Amino acid sequence: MDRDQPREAGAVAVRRVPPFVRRRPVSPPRRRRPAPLARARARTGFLLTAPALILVSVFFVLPLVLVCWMSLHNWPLFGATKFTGLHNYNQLLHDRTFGDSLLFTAEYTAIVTPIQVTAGYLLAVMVRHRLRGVGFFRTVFFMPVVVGFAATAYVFLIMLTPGTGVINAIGHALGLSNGQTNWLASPGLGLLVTVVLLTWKTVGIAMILFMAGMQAVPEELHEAAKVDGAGWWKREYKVTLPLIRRTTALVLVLTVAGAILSFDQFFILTHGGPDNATLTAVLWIYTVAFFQYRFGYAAALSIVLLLLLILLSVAQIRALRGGDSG
Amino acid sequence: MASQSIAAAPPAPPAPGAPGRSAWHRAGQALFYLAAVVFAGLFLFPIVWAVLRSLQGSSADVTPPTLSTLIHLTLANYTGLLGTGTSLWHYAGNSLIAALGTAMLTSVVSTLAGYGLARLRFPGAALAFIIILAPFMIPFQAMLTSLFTVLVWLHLANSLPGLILVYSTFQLPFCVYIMRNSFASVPKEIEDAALVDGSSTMSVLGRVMVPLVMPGIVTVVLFAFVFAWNEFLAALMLLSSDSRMTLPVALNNLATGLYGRVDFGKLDAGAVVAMVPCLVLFLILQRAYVRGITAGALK
Repeated sequence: MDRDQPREAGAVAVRRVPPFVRRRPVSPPRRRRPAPLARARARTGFLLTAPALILVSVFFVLPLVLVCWMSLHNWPLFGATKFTGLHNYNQLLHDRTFGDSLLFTAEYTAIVTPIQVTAGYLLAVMVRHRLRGVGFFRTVFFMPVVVGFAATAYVFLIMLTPGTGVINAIGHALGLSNGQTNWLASPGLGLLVTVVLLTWKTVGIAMILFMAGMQAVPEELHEAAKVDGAGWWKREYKVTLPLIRRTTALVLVLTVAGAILSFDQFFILTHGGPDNATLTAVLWIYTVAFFQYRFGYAAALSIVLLLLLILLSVAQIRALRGGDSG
Repeated sequence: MASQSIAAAPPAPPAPGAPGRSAWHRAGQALFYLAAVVFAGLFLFPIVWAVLRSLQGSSADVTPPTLSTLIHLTLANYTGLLGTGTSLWHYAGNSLIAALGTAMLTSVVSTLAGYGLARLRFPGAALAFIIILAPFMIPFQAMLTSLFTVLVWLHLANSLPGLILVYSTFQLPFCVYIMRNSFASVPKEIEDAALVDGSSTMSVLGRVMVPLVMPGIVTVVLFAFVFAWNEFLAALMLLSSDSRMTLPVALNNLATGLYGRVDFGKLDAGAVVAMVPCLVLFLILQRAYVRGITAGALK
């Protein structure tokens, strides 16, 4: 947020109230002045933050420590746990299913991400203008974002049912199929369905982010480029794209993070099948934990996922810091 | 309002060229509307179709849609029981409890913490902020088994209060971030003036500050509600008795045939009930929602 300095400063300056008490910097960060009143206020500050800290400690920090501890154990759902050291990790290295699930997750991410970025960008180009009715289209394109993944997965499930689903009915009516296509029983079609579902459901976020980024590009730059004789494509490519690099990085990261954690659509639509062909990492961890009741082993698998997510966060921070100058 | 300014500012899109100047421009506009209408149709279709099919009684299970099935509408799918003798609305009620509980707890906790972190500097505030933001980096999907174990230890597994506590914890990073920024952007002088009047810190928060950060609170409530209403994996993992299940989980039992034959009409009705509240909220509070997306993203 440091990057928005001019905009922020402007916004604050406009709202500034005449300083009738004493002069202090208006901007939020870093104010260190030990005053008599300050101690009481500091204590109140800590007390106000405490509930949040307690929640995070109990339901985040504790499970985070516990997952490391559990990963070193044979930890069944019921019965005694037994310390087994690195055994789970050793086993993990030979777990073909887990390896395949990571590969599939990576494949899914690699397919979904460029689609999401491109589609989001194109939709943003479409709706960034102030044409009549454009607000309606923005709303419509964004609407699937707010409904649940599970709910929309059921809707897709019904639309794809062999025999009675509308997609099959349309295919049959157009003579493309016999209306009995079992979309979710084939790895390729199952993947296609989940990609379409994810794109439909989340592209609105990319669209909104791109749109905000595009609207922050100063109008003068476009005007100047136009005076220089740059056409629409050239302005888009030479002016807009470089100036929204940070937005692009953000959309990339958000999409990757979302795709890596994919669960709902695969659990509901393909159950990871056929033959584990659409098994994602989270879905496999869930299966190991809650169908096989091997909590310790699932914890070890979680650690791998956790490390991947931390790596991703580091990449995210670097991408956002080192991005463009906008 | 620092990070909210982008979305809150009225969109000032750089329309290329003055509108309606040339034939080219006209053609461009026509193309826009054509494409926009086609896309809008594609985007709306699954939702509209789910509503239509859910109104078609049991015929939707056995016959493909035809014109006549689309005309004969009934509410039967919404009123009947789902397999086990529990109605759709019971599960929707559970979802509502989870969503309202999460929205209330999250908004109160994040408002207090946001004020504490933005305005009442205390030693370790920066560290506290980082700890509260951490679940954003490592979401609960990366520690399913241990989270489950902790809830069992606390006797909170298989209960809606347990679910609400988990949801709130993992909504806190976003919500505290939003609230801290909201408080930080209130001019210091307003607060100082109230303090000079002799009000206590807490009464300043309640009387002066909270009304000023209301847009932030609305965003927080909206996000927490929508997240909790829609969440699937944690609810699936934590809720084991049928009577406590939230709507998405109950619908999974329906879809997998746990209640016997898969009843597509009822599943459609359930999906519609699962979608509509968030759609309505979004249509009413669109600005707050989009503000949250851009504000949360710009950090």
